[in-house]
Amino acid sequence: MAAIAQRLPFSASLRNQRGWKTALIFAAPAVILFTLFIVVPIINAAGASVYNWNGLRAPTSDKFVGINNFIQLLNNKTFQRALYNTGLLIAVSLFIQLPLGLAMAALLGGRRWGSIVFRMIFFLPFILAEIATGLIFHYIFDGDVGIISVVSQWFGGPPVALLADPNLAIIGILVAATWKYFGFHMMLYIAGMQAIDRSLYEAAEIDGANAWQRFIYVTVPGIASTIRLSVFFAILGSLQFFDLVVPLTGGGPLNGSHTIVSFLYYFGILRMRIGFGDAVGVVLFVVCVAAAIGYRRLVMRND
Amino acid sequence: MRATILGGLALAASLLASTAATYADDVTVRMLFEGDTKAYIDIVQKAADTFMSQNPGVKIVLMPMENEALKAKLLTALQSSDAPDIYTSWGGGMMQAHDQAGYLADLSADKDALGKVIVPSAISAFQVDGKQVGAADSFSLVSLYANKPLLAKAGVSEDELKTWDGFKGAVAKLRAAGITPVITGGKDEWPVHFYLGYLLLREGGPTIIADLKKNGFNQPAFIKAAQDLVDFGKLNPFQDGWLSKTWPDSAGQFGDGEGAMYLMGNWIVAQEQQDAKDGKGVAESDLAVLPFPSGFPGGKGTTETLGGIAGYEVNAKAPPAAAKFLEFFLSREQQKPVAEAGLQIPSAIGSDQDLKDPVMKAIAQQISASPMHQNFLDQDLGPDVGKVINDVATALAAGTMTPEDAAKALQEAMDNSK
Repeated sequence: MAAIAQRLPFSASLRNQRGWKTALIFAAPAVILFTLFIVVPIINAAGASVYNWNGLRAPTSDKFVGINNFIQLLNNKTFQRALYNTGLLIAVSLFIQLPLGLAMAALLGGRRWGSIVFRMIFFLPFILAEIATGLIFHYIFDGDVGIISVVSQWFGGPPVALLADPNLAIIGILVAATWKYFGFHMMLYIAGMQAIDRSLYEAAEIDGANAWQRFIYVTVPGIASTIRLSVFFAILGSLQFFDLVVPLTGGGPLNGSHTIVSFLYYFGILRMRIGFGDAVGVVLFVVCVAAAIGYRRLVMRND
Repeated sequence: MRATILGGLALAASLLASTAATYADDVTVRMLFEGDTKAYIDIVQKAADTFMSQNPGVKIVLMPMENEALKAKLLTALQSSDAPDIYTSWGGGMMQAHDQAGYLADLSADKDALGKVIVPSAISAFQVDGKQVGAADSFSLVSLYANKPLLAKAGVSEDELKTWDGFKGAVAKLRAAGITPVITGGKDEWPVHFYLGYLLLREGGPTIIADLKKNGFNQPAFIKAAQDLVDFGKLNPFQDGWLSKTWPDSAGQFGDGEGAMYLMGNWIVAQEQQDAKDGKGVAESDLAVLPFPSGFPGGKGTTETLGGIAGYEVNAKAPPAAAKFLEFFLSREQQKPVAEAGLQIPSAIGSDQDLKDPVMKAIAQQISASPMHQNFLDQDLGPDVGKVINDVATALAAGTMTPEDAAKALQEAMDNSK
């Protein structure tokens, strides 16, 4: 896909292809479903975000508050914390989780049966349900019976209750998220590596490159588009991170470990402030769309 | 093509007619209730079967659901065409929100019939501006549960726990003896709000919550109660890592004897035994059940109690049979198995005599002797302010919030929900 794409205007490029009418008819069911279940709710949510609405019956005009929900949102300290935590998630994904996945892919890309067994083991966390993962880590990090606390006490240290500290609880979430998703990225990279021409490696060996140089100069450029895709998933996934927060910390303690979506759930839906929750949703939507379009335009231009 | 369309229309019409015929025969009453335990679901089913046999033409459809799942489902269920006719409710602000949205029936005509089967406070708890919208089926009470052997080890007598100063002194004595004084569930936050609730009642008296709703949170009684909680938190009374413990975690800790006291609702008796590592927990004979301390100089409260008043709301669209079934189900005879099994303290007149468990009996007596039974604050104040009060209580106890900031946060939430 490295060929330079022809830059026709969208409508012209569509109509220039044969059978475009048939294509439209086949695409219609998907477009209708997409409009019904995605576009319409987004428009409804944006509409409701200017009301002080509790979710029961339709919003009434006396509850219209304009951009008040948005102003409250941006001034809300817990939301600011949630933005910070989400930023931490993105950073950890990009600088710890992805390199870890890449390192494992480099180690386990071969065909030895040991590699295949470990690939399966490292991919298993990805298959585990998020709620189950959260519950497991809730007990791993527990101050009394958790393994970290027990080990620390073996060595004569104090019991460690990571999830009881409002400032450190997010670390528990970051560790659980890294454990859960690095296997997915590892598999993406392994698949990408299978597509690299073997002769490139042979040529590099003949030129005297060692394993590290082969990795840097053959493997990484070869899977560059896979890496760009993997970063894309990591960023969007981090922006919408929710499932692990609920069983691990519930956004606490003292609301210190919320992410944007968990904030939406606990402060919008559970408190029956649906209008406020919709405002969070609108902000998140704008951020995600900007990130997705910006990333594709800037980074994935030629993929 | 036309034949197919006509054929399709005919089929649809006949199906519609057949379903209409079914609806004309049977009146259906749909009941969505909190069914966490199988024993309770069986009792409800039996009551429904008995009612149906006595009232042919009425069909009762039961939908048991777990607590949190029910709360989440109710919001959308009420707005669907299959809305339940009777559903579990904890009263308070949520009930008012339902009434404002026009979802609740006016059962004022049934007040007398209800008055024959349940106690007066069970009727008044489910009124909105004087309009009867449902009825309470059970009471629960928050008390101070104490592990007697652990208290004895630290040389603390139960008499000391009767006053607030004595209670604080007991906390210090237990710490000195190397025993965790109090267990609580900080992650879930609502167990901590019991402290704030009782402190408000003791400092502000029985009308405090109504005062706060009417005149705002920036009142001396609130600031004093919040300060009491901050001072209590400074004594380091809770178990290590209490901010990360859920209610079941903490119940297990209490059952394992890891702490001497727990301020909690009467359901702790069964829960701590179930969640303890050995499955047996603290035996009832080793459990002291005490009222929340009094002795607050300048405080307006006496022996008011904090606890739950749970029951059922009736949908505005429900058939008259729904209210009739509710009266039937809430009667002493139908609630007898509930009382005998100690599942709840029923609101039926005379039900406290059916209670077999001594702890439950004592609690029922405390409730009926109480000058005023205040509903859980996180229910009474509604879903938004209620969650904020849980947040605020936990932050006050953890020492990360001042009483003034707490009043401000609550007032903001209150203003938002108007």
